Amino acid sequence: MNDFQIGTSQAGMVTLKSLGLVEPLSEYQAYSQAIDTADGAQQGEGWPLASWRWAFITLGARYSLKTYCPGRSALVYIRTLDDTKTAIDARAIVIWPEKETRSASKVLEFTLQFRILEILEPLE
Amino acid sequence: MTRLYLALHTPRVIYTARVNQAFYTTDLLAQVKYDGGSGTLADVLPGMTVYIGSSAGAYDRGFCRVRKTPTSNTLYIGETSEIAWADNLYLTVVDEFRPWQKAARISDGVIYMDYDVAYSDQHLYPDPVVVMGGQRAAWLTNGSAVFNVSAAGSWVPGGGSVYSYLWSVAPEAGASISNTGVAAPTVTITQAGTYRLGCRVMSLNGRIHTGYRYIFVFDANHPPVENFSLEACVGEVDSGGWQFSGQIKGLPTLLPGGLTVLFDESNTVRASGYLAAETLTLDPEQDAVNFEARGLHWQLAQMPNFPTGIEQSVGTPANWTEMQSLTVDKAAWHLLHWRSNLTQIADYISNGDARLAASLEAPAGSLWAQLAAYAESILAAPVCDHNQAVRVQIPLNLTPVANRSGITTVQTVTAAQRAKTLKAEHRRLAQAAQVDLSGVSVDAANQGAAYFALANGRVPKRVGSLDRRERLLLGAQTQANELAGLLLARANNPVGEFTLELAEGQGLGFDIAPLQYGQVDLPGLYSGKFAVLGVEVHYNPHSGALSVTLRAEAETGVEQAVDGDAPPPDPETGVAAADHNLPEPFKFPPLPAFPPLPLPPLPTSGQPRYAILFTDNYGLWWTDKFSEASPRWKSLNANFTQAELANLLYLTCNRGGRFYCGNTKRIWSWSIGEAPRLLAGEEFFNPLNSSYVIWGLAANPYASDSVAALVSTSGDRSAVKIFTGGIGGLQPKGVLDGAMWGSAGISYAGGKWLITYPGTILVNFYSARWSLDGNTREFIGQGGAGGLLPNLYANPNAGHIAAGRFGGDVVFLPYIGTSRNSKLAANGETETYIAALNFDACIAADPTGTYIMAAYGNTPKRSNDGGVTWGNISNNAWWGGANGWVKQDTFIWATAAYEDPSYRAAAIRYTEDFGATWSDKTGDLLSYMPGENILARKIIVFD
Repeated sequence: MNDFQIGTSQAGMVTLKSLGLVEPLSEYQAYSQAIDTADGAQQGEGWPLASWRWAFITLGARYSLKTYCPGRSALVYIRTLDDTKTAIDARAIVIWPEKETRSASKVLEFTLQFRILEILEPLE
Repeated sequence: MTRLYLALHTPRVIYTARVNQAFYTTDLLAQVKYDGGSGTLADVLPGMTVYIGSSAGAYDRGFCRVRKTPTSNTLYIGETSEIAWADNLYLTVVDEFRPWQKAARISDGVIYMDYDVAYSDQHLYPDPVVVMGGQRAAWLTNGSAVFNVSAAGSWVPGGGSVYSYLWSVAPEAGASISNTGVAAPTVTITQAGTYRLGCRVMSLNGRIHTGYRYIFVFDANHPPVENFSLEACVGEVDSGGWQFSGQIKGLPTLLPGGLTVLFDESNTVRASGYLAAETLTLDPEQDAVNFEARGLHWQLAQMPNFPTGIEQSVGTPANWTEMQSLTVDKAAWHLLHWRSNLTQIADYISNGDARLAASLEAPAGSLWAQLAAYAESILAAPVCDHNQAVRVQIPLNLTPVANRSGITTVQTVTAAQRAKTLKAEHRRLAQAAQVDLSGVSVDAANQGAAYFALANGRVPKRVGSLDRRERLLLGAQTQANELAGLLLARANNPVGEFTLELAEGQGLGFDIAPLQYGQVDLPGLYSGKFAVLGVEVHYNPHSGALSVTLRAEAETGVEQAVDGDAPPPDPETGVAAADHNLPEPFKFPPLPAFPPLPLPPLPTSGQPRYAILFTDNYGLWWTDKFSEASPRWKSLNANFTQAELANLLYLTCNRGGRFYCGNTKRIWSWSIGEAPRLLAGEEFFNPLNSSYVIWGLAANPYASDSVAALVSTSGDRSAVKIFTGGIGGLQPKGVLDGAMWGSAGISYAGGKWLITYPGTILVNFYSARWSLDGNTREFIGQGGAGGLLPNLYANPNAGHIAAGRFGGDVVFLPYIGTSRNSKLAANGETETYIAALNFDACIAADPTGTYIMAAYGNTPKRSNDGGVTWGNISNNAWWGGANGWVKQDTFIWATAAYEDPSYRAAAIRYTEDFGATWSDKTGDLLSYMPGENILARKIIVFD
């Protein structure tokens, strides 16, 4: 359950491991914008955000990931960790990195951004 | 967080057909003949939109409104002048109801609403107002979308009850209504699509009215527009409604003026409106369309309307300008129901204000401005809510404090629900020093009194402006005082307008109408209720955050006020301008009459109402009952001598119903209902040339009074000049080339005068085009061999007959006595030989010159191909032969001829089908003509 996964449907998600990827450094933010309110607090608003970051990935793994996001962004289903490190399934828009730094058949500092996360009930 | 969607209305096609008539004018069209209909005609409902296009389904020529139920060959449309009509254009009636004004029309002094609705008892027994909610949109959830609808708020202007409801939905497939006969049924939709929801309401007095709204239902396979960004979504009391704008990715085709609904994931409509502007961004990487949708307030503000006025009648209202127990509500209803179709497409919610008015008037302006003028008399303003329900709303702070208990508090905004920074003016000085208010109170019998109030009193505050409010509707002195106090308190609100920026999801229930409270605690500034002046909805598509910013004003109460002072008595009469104990009933200035239309109604297809003709020996006759089976004719001969009547040569008119006739010496003019009077004769012409002859006469059909005459200024046929002018007199202008050696013709075409005349003795003729002012000759061509127009041999009868009653594309030159007839372009420059038939002078054609009728000896002929081929008109028993006349209006033709070769009787005949069938319109004409030699000459029919 805790394996990171990605797919074009919730039922069709596959583990990152099966794509030749190690577990990413994941981040999760429960809101996407914040306003300062009159009581001195700050209120988070909007859809949750998430990201997966690798120090490097192989080109093969990169091409595997690219099939889920052929363009600049795409609608995907992911399993990731929320801010309590609990695995969640979500439908999200993945944003492909604007620039890729390649070295020795590897892509360095590779980060996928996910936004407009809609948390889904896990499938039985 | 949520998602926003756009529902763009793509109307379903209801009925298609093609125009089946020619048009002599595109002005003031109110109906159009059609053929090739496809669809179910009964599904065409009054109020639906008609596309007029040059191809199937297109609207490149424009839009019209179905005015009333069509017949099998006639589509009745809202009166329009903006369509470039032509035969065979495509008509597409679609399932759409967009806002339209309904033009008032005055014909023969009678006021008609929406072209032909005469007053009977519409103000005595008003149609009910359907209040059924706004547009709706939803996603299918588990295969269905359920809507709880209600028309329980429907009402009857002036009082009375709603008797029954009848709901309908179309198309019926995929939709059901729990009970069509109750006020509040449930509508269940099981298929994605656009549905028209109808609710017919009947009042106790049997009047019915039907409202229509749309339900947009989507599923994953039929999604709404999602790929758009919302740039602004704002409702403002000041502007009167809502508008929203955004950008849609790609280049979708947006229906101009189409209904647009903005809704969110919870199926809540955030705003609706009609597309008002569109900007395309062409970009190879990302095309986009920026759109603006605006509510009915803006739509009505774009619709010009004639001046409007309603007067309170003590007895039964007898016409469109009268109502009993006149209130702002009722006058506004008249405006929204009879001057526009708003009550069909949106809710109009009564404000219940019972103050009576002796009259309510508004000058020419937009429908919205006129509504605002009515509302101003009770310190109200018209406002549309986010889903287009219209109210005439008194601002919260001008509502008597005692009446505010029923106003809902939408939300108490806590500190945690609003952004931390808020700026507002803290007013330490008075803005208004004094309110001086006056108005009148009337009862249903128009008995009234004037009231005056001063807040705070006769001494103004130390600082501030003087605010004078006049001509208000009042109930009593106490109300005058209270209103003055409310106005002063509002003007001196210690807190200026402030803006509340709310956190995500907060304040989404606020709207600019109906009246509603919010509550807020602003330490050091204000703590209490506030009124909403504006609502701005923000949406961040990346975060999904939907948030609201409010523009608000703190609630105010009422300041003290005292009875004001009536103006001093008139120094001459000693009568008080107003008195609390009026000795006489309060007199209101008379309601200004409906303004005269610029010109009387123009001829349209259908049975014309008027006809005018002249005969040899019996002069001028006219009827305003030409549409009846046996018209009654009336004489116009009172101001003529017998000699003048026997020698009339010319009869012409403009589109406005001004006529000109003449003989070789005199010209007369008159309008419908007047007696002809001399425009110019010997007294005017003799000083120029005592031997003068008037050789031609023509009217400019587009001007209210513009005529041109050809008159010799040397001898009887030399130095022929164009005289132009009108009933105020004629002025000599340019001189024709050559002389006048036979009859001439002059007509108006395309802003010019076309003159044909035999300018060389018995040899050739000239075609000359002159400027409208008669000063400049722009073209001249000589007919005959060697001339610019070699095929024309009209000598000596170079007179011509213009196609169409008021001129068209061509003129005809019948070459009487020989077999050579031709036509000439209206600019005079190109000629066409049309037939080797010995046509008489009686020839006429539709404005394009395609459909022609003519007399060939004793045989009436017709051509439907511009004169290439000719056939007999079979029903020709009436046709007397030479010198009969046909005058045409598309497929309407009227003839005046003599009944038999012995000239014993005139005969007037009329056809609408290009001569297939004829009706006798002679009526009682012959009863005025006991003798013989009755030669009916020219006839003009018009509506």
